[in-house]
Amino acid sequence: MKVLWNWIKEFIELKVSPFEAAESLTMSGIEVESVEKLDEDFLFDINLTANRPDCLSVRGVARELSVIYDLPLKEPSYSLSFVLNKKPKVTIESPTLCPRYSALIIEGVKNTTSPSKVRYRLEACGIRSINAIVDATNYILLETGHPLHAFDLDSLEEKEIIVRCARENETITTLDGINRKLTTEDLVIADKQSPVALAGIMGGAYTEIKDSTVNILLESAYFNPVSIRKTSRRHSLHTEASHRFERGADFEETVPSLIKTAKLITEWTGGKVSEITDCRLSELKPSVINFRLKRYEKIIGSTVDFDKACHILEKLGCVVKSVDSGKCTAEILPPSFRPDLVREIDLIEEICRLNGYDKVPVLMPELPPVSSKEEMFKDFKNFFEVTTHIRTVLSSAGLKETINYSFESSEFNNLLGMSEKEREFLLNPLDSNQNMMRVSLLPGLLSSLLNNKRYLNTDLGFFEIGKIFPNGKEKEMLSILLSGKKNFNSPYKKEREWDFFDLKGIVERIISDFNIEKVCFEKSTVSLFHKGQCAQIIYDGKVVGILGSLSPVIKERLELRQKVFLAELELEFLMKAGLKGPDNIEIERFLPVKRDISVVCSVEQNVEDLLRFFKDKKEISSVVLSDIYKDEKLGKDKMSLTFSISLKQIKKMTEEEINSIMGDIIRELIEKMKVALR
Amino acid sequence: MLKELEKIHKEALAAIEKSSDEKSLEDIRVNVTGRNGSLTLFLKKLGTLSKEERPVVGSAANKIKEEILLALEEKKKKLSLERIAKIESVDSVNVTLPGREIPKGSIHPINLLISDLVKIFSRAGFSVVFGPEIEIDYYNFEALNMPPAHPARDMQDTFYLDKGRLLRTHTSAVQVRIMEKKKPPLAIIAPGKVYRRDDDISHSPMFHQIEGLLVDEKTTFAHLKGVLTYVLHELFGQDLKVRFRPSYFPYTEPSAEVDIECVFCRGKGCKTCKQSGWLEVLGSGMVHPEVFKFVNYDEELYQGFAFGMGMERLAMLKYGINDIRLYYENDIRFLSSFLGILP
Repeated sequence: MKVLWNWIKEFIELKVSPFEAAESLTMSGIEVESVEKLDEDFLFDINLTANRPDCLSVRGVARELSVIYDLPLKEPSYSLSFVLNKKPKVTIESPTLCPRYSALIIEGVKNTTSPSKVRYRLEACGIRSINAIVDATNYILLETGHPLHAFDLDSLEEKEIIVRCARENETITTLDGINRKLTTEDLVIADKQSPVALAGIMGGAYTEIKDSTVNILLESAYFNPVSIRKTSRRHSLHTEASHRFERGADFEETVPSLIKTAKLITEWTGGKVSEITDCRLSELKPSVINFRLKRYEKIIGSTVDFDKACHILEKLGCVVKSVDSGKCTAEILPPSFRPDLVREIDLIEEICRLNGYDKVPVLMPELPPVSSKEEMFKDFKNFFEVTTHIRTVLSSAGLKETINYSFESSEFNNLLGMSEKEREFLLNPLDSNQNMMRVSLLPGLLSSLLNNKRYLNTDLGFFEIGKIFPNGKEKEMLSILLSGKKNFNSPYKKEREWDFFDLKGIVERIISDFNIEKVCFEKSTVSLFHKGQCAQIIYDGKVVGILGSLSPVIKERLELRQKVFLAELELEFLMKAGLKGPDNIEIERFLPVKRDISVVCSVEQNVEDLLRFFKDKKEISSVVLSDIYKDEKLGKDKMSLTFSISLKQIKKMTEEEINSIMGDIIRELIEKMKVALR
Repeated sequence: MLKELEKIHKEALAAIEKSSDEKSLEDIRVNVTGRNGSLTLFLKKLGTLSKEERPVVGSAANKIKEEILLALEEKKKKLSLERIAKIESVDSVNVTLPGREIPKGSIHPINLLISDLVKIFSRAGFSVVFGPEIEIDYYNFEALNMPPAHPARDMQDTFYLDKGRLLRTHTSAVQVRIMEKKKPPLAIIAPGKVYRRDDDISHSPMFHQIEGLLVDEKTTFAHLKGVLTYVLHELFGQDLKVRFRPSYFPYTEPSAEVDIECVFCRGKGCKTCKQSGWLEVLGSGMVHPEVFKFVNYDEELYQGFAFGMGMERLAMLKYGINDIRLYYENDIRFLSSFLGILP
């Protein structure tokens, strides 16, 4: 909202500079975003919070300054003689939506342009000058905050006003030239025949004030805020008037603003004023609030002088009654222009902000130490620790963390051949590139890859931790993308590209940090992946993740030349298992005995099974696959695997004892695992 | 006799002088002082000497033996040093060559900041909690004292899913969920993603917030100032100026907008702070009694404060990032600025 400095000064005698006043307003809650120097004035741009309709006017801002600087607020008096011996005919059919409607008639005006000072002010505040009559209503709107509307009386059928809800299939062409279809929930101002204004929002084109207009009807009403807001939203029509009515106008201001406007109009255009019709079908009276200084102290944590508190409330326009200086309590009746003051806490805030937030001390609370025993917080703490751990591990492995949007393009998902099941669509996406909630983190990582490819950066190691939303359920996931070169040539190491086993190694490392006994990697075919390089991760009989190389088909679609490796893993099973603590500390007395075993098997042999076979032997303390060897001599589709195993020594073993143990292991290996010794 | 002794002495010293490795030195020791060494044999002959000669020759022989042993020892030391020096010169490296690299990745700045803040808040006694990102109107608006048609809803343009579900517009939605489950005292922070239908240079349709809530029987507005000042000082430095400015949120009262002294110009006025010297960093306030009503807390008994801070904006100030869109493009040139920083 824009307000002019000299206009404010018509209401209050300020000695401070506009900049100083702006700073004071900001620090009392009326945020002045900027003060712009004009030729002869200063323009304040005020960012007003939604609870302060009373400040949507020059007078309101002046009133705030009168409290801050403890100065009197000047109210210019307007006298008007009602010479026409008639009254407008007004009927309110919807008193809940329009509890008060005041109106008068001015006959014999000669519409013209408004004085240059008025035009200057209106335009500085962002309102186009139209003609003297319309300008008068807008001028008073800016000055008092009360919206008014003028009708061309001779265009009103039977010259009467009916405030009612629109009927089925009724339409109105509003002043902006748009023909609007109305609903039965829209409140309208109608004449005997049809709607002539969208109540409290915008007038109709038919009854518009023209240069030729001679007789007018001037409206000043109070409309229900919720109803105005709903209609304004429904028609996407936000106006100066609707902005004020939906925040709550001043119920007692209809007549004073009506008189002021009529005074300006007759001053500028001549004409004779009728008596006022004031339909006041229900009352909107503020209720008395009990104020206790003790309560103020308990909430704020410091005190304020009780007399000062009462004085602030009085300056704000409240009536302060039943003051008990002993108990420091009072009964407060807020003014009609402050619909936001209904509870004691509202008064506490008023006193605190106008006394100055800087007067409140800065104190640290004494909180009990955070306890992880609290069952409710344990899972949250666990989640935070687990994700922090994974972030640390993966970034230390050289990967970069990304964050992608939770919504993405369904078209891109289709391009990747992602399943169309489980998709959840936004009803009002910003655009089609963000129309569905993601069901996998992988499309996001791939689009990050495509972003980087545009800058010729194709050597990437990415990960992301975030939620996916299959069927609207929220699931925490971890995803990894590896592509291009893993490292570059150096004197010590030849450059090479990321491969499947880099990815698997990273995934295994993550899983191995948790209390998880056994996961299996099962070869599978999933459309996003290369048919020969894809595995599902199985834990406790359930698929908990997937990893593999990006399908060559998709690679062609995305015009990617480099290999891309992708993994996605659920976090829930990791969180449930929890991070590992230290193992039992057990240092063997004797050095382990090391032996190698080489076997020949099919290239499709399940190596995890072989490794597990060794791990499960109680005589073996550790096993690693130390070599893979393929040779024509071994036979087609065969490979040789060498396992380096360490045997536990509980006592010093002789060569014979060792050979006997090894013999047993090898015999069982050949028998159970169906492999040959090389 | 003495002449013979002199000869042994000279020959031994010459041999020691000549020897060039530790093995030949050992040979010399054996040849001279070993069981059949020349000096040993000489000493055995001492018995044949007269009483007068014996002590003279004997002490001379012993003196020579000591000298030879000393010479042996010294030469041995010298040779050993030479040998090691040779090894070291062969193994010498050019220390200016680069070391072998170990991998170095990065954590996203938003998550780095969230980690920082979680640590800072936990030092102050707050526990971390999380809430759903798909919400219902009740938790996101209604129970936060924003009934339908409340003008404050305008500030938060919302993404909707079907069946009345929506993407939460602020982490404040977590407040009510937690209060429903637990009675005070309660000190929590809730980091997470939030969504608003906004997209321009300073707004992203998805961003991150941390919500905070402290409710017990005695937490005051002064404590709100205390905790938030502490946190901002921890984050930006102890000498940073912080100010609390009255504002409005439907779910807090009194409400305060918190400004910090502009971190770029230190309050002098620059483009970032629009010449004001101040930057708005978070919204806060005392929990509104209406919110307590929704969760069946006795509003005369319990009191406390809540706040919400935007991570993107704070990270911009902390790390000097100038465009909010950088956060989600995942350009490695951007992400690489955070290489090696651990939470």
